[in-house]
Amino acid sequence: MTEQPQIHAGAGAGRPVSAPSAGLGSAATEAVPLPGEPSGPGQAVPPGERRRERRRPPDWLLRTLAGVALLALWELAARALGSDFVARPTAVAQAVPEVFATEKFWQDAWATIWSVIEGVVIGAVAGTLLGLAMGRIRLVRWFFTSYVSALYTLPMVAVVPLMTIWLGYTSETRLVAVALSAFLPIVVTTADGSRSIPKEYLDVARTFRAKVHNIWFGIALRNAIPYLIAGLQLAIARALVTAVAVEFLAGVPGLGYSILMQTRSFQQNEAFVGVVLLTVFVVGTRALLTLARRRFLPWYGR
Amino acid sequence: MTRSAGRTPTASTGRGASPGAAPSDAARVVVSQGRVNYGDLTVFEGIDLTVKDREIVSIVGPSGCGKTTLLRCIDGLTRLNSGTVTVDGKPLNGPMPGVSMVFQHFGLFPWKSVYNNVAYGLKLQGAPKEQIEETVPKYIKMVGLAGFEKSYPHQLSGGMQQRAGLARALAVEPQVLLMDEPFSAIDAQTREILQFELLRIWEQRPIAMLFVTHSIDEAVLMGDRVVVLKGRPSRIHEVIDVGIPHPRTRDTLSTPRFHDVKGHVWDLLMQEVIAAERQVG
Repeated sequence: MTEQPQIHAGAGAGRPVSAPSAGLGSAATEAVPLPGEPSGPGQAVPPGERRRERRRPPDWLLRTLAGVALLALWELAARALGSDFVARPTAVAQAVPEVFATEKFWQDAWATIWSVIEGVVIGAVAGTLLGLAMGRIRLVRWFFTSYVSALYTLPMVAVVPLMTIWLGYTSETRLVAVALSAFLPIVVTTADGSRSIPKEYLDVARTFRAKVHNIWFGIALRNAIPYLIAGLQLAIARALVTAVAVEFLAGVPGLGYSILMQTRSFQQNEAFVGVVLLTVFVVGTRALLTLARRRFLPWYGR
Repeated sequence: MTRSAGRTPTASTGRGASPGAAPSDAARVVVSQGRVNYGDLTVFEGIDLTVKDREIVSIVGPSGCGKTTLLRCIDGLTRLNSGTVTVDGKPLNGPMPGVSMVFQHFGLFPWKSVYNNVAYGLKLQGAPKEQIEETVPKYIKMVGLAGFEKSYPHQLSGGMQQRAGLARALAVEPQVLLMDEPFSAIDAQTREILQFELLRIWEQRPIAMLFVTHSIDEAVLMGDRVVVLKGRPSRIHEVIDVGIPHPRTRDTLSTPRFHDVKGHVWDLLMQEVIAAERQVG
């Protein structure tokens, strides 16, 4: 009976539980974590350890456990039903090495992910500029607000077939669609952020006779950064959805397209590996953005 | 309307205690017939006010009397609907160089360190790098924030944040310093410390200062003259010469003169409150 939760030392699970749980998804899935029982005082607690964390296992452990439990449930259900049409987590895991060894998988994955990165960068730069203008200039706001919100609610998938007519069944279509779907959430959040500047900041700037560009880029943009980060999180998720949808609908080569093809040829496990990779990408970028926010905007809460 | 409570500040008020600190007659700020209204609601009207060089003028009045609005008009952040403001003889047309303001909620940028917050005004003026590197640490030290240059506002207490706000206002070496209830968001003990520190700083380099507050004690302690705003719309009800010499210290608070002036201002403002309550009742 110890005070700290213990990890059953399985392969690759040498990390002490008391270490800060900064990593996401770094929990070793092979190791079986045993939650420690809370017991009386007396054990040495590393400095800086909060009381709450002594009494119950750390968050990431609980989350990993929940994930493992869900996968186990899935596995059991698939086996109980005896269906061969439903992929099982264990089978997917077994397919991983084989899929990872194929060059095409990485080519496809890179094509999709790169188009998302490119599209988000283009959408973010353009969206930030329009968002700033909408936040700071009443006329621009008045002109664009209803159009931006209309486009924002429009599912981008709906216009993809039209885009193929304009731009062909090409990766350019994918890039344009991705950039557009990343652009809109950035515009909306940046406009909010650069509009909702505490009045006193503007008073200070005006007292010191700030020029318009000082206010735009020195204050409005800085104030909008937390909003911009929230917008980026939305943008990346939307961009990925659009990228996959374009690949489905326009047959543009990429991970989405190969998932579709594999599914059609009953290679479910292989398709799932692609799905998992896309998920890891989104979760990873989200974690990076959260980290960036904590690192660079420490005053902005958690 | 000026009631000269005792000696006039321009005469022998003993301010010679700090040589060279005697108020010159140069009028730094002149407001004449100032009026501000929001639609049908007139906030204040008929305001005539002069702040001379090396003089601290406190403005007190009930909530909503337009003290802060008047200060913002002098800063050029708000326009008078009629009347004029001149600073150093020049009619005001937006914020002027040589005028700084300290804000009620500090107005520090959370993304800038103390150093960069204090340097903000100088940087906007396009001051050369050497000047910034020389001036900023000087004022950070003056307000007692040495060692906190790299801290961010959220890491500081309210009192320390306002020290940074004061340093930022002083760093541009203004001729006129506008204080908008600078200590009202700060706890009582810290507030008292900061009041005396501000007096020390001012006594080192006396400039024209306007001090808006809702605390009568603070108005009398800080001010060479106290302007009482009253009525709806508000007007200058009375200007009181405090007549307590500088340097002012904690002992000032226990002098009979401080007590008398404070009592007088209190009576003026209480009449208003009582009248207002009668109207409501």
